[in-house]
Amino acid sequence: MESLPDIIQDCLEGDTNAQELLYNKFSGKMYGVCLQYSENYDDAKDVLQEGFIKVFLNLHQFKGKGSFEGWIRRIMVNTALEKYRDKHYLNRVDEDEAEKLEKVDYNVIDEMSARDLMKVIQELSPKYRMVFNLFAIEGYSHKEISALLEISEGTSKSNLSRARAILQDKLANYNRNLKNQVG
Amino acid sequence: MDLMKENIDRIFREGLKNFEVTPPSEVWEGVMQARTYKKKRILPVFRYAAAVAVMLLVVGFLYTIINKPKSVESAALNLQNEKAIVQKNLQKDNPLPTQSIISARNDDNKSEEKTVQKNTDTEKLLIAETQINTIKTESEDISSVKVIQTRESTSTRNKTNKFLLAENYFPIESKNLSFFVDGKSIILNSKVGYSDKGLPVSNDFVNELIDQKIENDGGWSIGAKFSPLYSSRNITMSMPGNFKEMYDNVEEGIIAFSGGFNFKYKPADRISVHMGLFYSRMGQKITDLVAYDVPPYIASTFPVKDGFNNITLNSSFGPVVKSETYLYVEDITVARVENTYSLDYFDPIKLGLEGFDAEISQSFEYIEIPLLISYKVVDRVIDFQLLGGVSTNLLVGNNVFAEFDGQSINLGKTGDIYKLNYSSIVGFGIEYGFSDQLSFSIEPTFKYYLNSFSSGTRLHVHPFSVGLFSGVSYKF
Repeated sequence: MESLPDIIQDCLEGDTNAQELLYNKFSGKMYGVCLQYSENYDDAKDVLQEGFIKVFLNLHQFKGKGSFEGWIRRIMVNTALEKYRDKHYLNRVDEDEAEKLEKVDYNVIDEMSARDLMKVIQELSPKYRMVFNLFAIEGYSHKEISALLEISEGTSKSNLSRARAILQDKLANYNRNLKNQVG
Repeated sequence: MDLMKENIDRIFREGLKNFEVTPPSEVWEGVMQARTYKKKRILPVFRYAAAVAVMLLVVGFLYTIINKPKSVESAALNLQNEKAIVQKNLQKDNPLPTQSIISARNDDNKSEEKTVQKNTDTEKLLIAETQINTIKTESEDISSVKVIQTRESTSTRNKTNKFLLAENYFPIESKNLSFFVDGKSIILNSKVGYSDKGLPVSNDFVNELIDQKIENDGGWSIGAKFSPLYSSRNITMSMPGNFKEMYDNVEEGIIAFSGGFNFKYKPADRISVHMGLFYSRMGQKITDLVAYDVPPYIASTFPVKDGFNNITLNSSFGPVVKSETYLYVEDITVARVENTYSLDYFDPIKLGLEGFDAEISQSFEYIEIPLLISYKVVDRVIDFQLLGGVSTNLLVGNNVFAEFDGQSINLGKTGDIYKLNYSSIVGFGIEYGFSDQLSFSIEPTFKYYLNSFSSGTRLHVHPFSVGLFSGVSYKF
């Protein structure tokens, strides 16, 4: 089993098998990241493909001093952001999303599968999904998010607040449905 | 409420942490297809411009060679031939010993020559123009034989051997070569060609001869030039994709400068060879970065070892390796920054550090030794010339600065830069002579690096600069 630095080196030397190995090693997890930032599987597929093209193009710039997975992940996130920025997708407003807050049983929610969580995130409108992902998952500040998404910091904060409220509502629904099923 | 927020964030962060989905096979096929794009041959406008300029120089050079004005020696020989032909004709039809002709030449009383103009100005230019009337011989009816115009600069008369050589063919004090036939005077000018009457018809060549003589003064000159430059780079990709576009979006040219001394030698009439010694600064600016000024007490807690650089910023020029631990740089648009410590170790947001919009400037200093050839297209009081050539550039300075929040911090060097580079130079020059020795010139110039700039990247990066050189030169 080749080590990751060896695989990367082989990729740099044009070894197609090594490139496929690298792809297979990270594509599953990165597809998950792309899904997190996309509305559906088709969009995520496009982001993943474009992201991996960038990975191979930029591979010579990875010097092996940081986390390779983190490096790929950042490329995927940026690719997703570029895609949505180009489409002005983030300006779209969905007004039909719930805002009411309900008490949530977090112990139950902790048992939610990743796939269910992903489904919940994907149901968010793009502008809320992006801000929530960037802040809660990636750890960006509102200042950075405002630069990345070309929105004001105030909008970023407001979108995050709305995203959390919507997610909380969806989790409450999940909680309620689960209780009904058990009851 | 805060607890609820944290819970929501945590649920998704933890829940999706190891989420994996096998992508459809068509994604990999798409990646492979993109990677097998044929390499695009990018022929930038700059190369066309350089090629056109070089062609112009070559054509100009060949034109000069082919249509080179008759040298003074050949002019003298021509004049001698003219003299011989005329003498031959005259002897044939009017046998008159040469000695008689020459002696008769000095006899003003027998001449019908009319001096039109005689000028003795401060430069002691003496211009005489004469037109003679018809000369008839038995064999030829020569009408309106005209023109003799000779200019003679006594101040420069003895400077050029060539000119003296020309004079040696005419051991006469007069500027005119005169013959007297049957009481008529023939005055020859230096026109190379002959009219159908067998006699010269124009006086252009003499003027040209004199101009050439004056221009040939001062084969060597020394000067100094300076120019502000717009410096940037051109990426010629070796791989498909939008990598070039990515760097183009976040890197900008800068205003730099160049200055130094140059020497010029004129091996031919309109051609000069330029050599020089210049100091130049060039570079670029990298934008779309966020910098965090990290307090030493926080920085000291990072797992940074000696010689273990904590940040590498990739640029088209090459990697900027930063060993400074008190500055954390984040990329906000593309994945150019590699941090040794990831957000798992150090998260400036969580630490409450304020982020600043940052720019990083890469600066390179060179000693340049250009070798240029210029061709003078317009040769008047204000000359216009085309320039072209190559330069050998030796890297003597390499610095990177981060600028944010009013601070400028030296980050070190851009890595893997070639120390020896070669560039092509094209441009044109406008030169005005204050006097015979001193002149002022303006030269819009374009310089393009022939070799790729860095060994640290697979990109082919060619710096270029556009400048407007101005300077003075002194002929000696």
